[in-house]
Amino acid sequence: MTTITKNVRPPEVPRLDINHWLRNQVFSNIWYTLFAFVLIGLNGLVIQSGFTAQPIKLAFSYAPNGQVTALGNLILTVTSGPFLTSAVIILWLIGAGLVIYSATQHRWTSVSHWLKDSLFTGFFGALTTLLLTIIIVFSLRAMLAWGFFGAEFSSDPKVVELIRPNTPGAVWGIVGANLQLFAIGRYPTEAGWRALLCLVIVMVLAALSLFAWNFGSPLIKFRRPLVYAWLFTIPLTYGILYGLPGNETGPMMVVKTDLWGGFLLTVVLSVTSIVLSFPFGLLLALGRRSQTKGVPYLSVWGFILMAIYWLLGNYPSESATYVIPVIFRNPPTVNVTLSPFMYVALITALVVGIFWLVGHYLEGNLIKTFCTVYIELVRGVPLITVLFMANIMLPIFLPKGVEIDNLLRVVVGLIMFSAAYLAEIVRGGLQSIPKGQYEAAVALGLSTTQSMRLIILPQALRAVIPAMVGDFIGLFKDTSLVSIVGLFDLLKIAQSAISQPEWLGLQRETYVFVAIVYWVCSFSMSLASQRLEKNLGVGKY
Amino acid sequence: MSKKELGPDIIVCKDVNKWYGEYHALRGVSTTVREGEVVVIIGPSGSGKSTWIRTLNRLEEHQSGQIIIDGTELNNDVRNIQEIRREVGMVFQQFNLFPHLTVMENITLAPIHVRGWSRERAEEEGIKQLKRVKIPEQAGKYPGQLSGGQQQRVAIARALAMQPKIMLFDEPTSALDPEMIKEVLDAMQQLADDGMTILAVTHEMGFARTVAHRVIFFDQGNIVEENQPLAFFENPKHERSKLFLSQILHH
Repeated sequence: MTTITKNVRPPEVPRLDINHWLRNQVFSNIWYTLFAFVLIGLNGLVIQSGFTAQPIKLAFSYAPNGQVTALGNLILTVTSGPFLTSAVIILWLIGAGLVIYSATQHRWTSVSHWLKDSLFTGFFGALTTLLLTIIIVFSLRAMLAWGFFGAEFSSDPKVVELIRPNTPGAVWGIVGANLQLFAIGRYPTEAGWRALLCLVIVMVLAALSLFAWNFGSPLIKFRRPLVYAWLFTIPLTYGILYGLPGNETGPMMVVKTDLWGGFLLTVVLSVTSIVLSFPFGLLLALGRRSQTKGVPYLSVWGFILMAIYWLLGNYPSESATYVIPVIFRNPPTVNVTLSPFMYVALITALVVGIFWLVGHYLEGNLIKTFCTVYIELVRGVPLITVLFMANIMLPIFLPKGVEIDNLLRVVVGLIMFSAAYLAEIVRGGLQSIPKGQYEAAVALGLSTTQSMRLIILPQALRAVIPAMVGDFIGLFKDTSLVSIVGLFDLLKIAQSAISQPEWLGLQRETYVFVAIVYWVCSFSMSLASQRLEKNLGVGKY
Repeated sequence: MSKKELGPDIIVCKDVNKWYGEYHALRGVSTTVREGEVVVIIGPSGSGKSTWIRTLNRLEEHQSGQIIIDGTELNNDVRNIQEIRREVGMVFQQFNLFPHLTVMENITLAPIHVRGWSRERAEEEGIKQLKRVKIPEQAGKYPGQLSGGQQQRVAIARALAMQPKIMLFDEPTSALDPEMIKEVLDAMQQLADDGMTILAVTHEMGFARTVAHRVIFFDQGNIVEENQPLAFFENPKHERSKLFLSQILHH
């Protein structure tokens, strides 16, 4: 040991060779040199505009006599351009000095090490840090000046009317005064508690679900009831929101769906379409991977029942008379009158015949073909088209006398649209499961359904949680498109709030508020998905 | 080698044929296996030995010929297939444990959902089978936390928990490190000693020599030679089996 340590000398303290450093690090080639000059120039520009920046305008720190108060003076001084710019430059110089000192002395503290690794990584890193810091500081200053220091918070229209001409920043009163409008739209005030109740139900369910899908949670037994609860919540909340039929006034009065609006409508639309598009998308994904050849009997019966229902609805009250032209030009005609029974029998025969032909002669995989065509068709058109179809085209295909509520049509459109995307995500998950898993399951005697439910799907769905939640967040934000078919969701309500005479021209405040609401909801979903992913992943793989 | 008396025929194959498109994978395989018999199937790769063992529980469909397992014929009748799969356990080369379930859940899944046992009874049986393969202490872990040899023993216990009459092994040691092969072979040997009917595709000639009642040599989709292990290894009759044995033994 001693022989080794004898030869080790304390390290020499190297001198800072500026020329060497500049030649090798900064001006080593033409591009670096160019970039260095660009950076230095940009820094100069930003610093200059920082020093000459206008002082911010205050709205609330004036004393009644119009003089600036002591607090106002302090704010003005701290936020003035020269003060902020010099503070940033001084801090930057201290940091740079610390790093240079540590580098020459070979002594690294945790602070200087962090500074060297993150903010002062060489010449270009240090200059970029300075540039971006000044830009960020002045952006923050502008945002605070508009949204806080120069803003007016009163939501009394009369007060605001007087103060507004002298307010340099935002007028937040439009948000405060219209909170109810943003929350429930034109839903009647006396039934507003019902809307609140529904929101509370959804929130409680969401919180319980978040807790139940926690790893090792005591609520683990309630996962299945919770899934049913979510499904049951949909008709329940619709019922609560709609009210008791027959009541014109009072707390349980009927509220037609065209009065539902605001955040309430956004939540109703997104929860319904997220919860219902999931099973639908799952079926589509499984269907697209189906190996079943020919026509499954169940679907034949389903189609026959649908055809009978549709045709009975379309059947004229007495009897159906058809004029059948026999010869092409100037035709003599034959009148055929069908009884309702014949009418249905004919169509049933038609449906069975088509299925029989497909099943026996084409030997195709009907389920797979149907699912593939559906998915590719829906994914090939924009959501707005689907919504227009649901709104305008759907009534044409329905039997006579059947009318579907506008909201319901839109919800169906959203579900159909989202399910197609979800199906492809789930299919990706299913394809990631090795074939051996399925083989092991059936070799143990599990049926195809059991192996899907117990082995394949739990693994496949877990693999695609991030993608699915991404889709759900997209769907949540896409509900703002329903305004084009006449529904008043949060965004549309916000637009209508702007057009109120006492709040004219306050777009910025309103859109900032709406953006914050959307962001909070979307980010909560994202956080929940990260949690879910982590909790379901414990101990695996 | 104290080998017990063998029972009646439990697997009967008559002229079993299988094609993958144009490729003729099985060319008229005919043989019978008796209850309690240990059969080792060897042969070059691509000879159809794995395909044949997988037709016995319908993981692969055979297009012509007859397979009768324990008196039930394997055909397109789903009930027959389910009945046979309940009585035939299978162990795979890649273990194929379910990674999202614990070891105990892996083992109790089929008894609960196929046999309809209660959870308590299934777990009792699970512990029994885990003790049989000597890893009862791993019951609460996930497959990803176990070594390859342990995983394969869990796979054996999982198949045994269904109380099958026949066990199929499809190259159970091929994906294992050399030092883990022994623990799996020991478990298989113990099964054989307990009188289980075993069909194993394997390259472990030592196992074939000491445990098997019969060795079946496959080549080009058919049985070329079958004999008792001593006779087969000492005195192979067919040219192809001579070549195969010389290649694997003198290496």
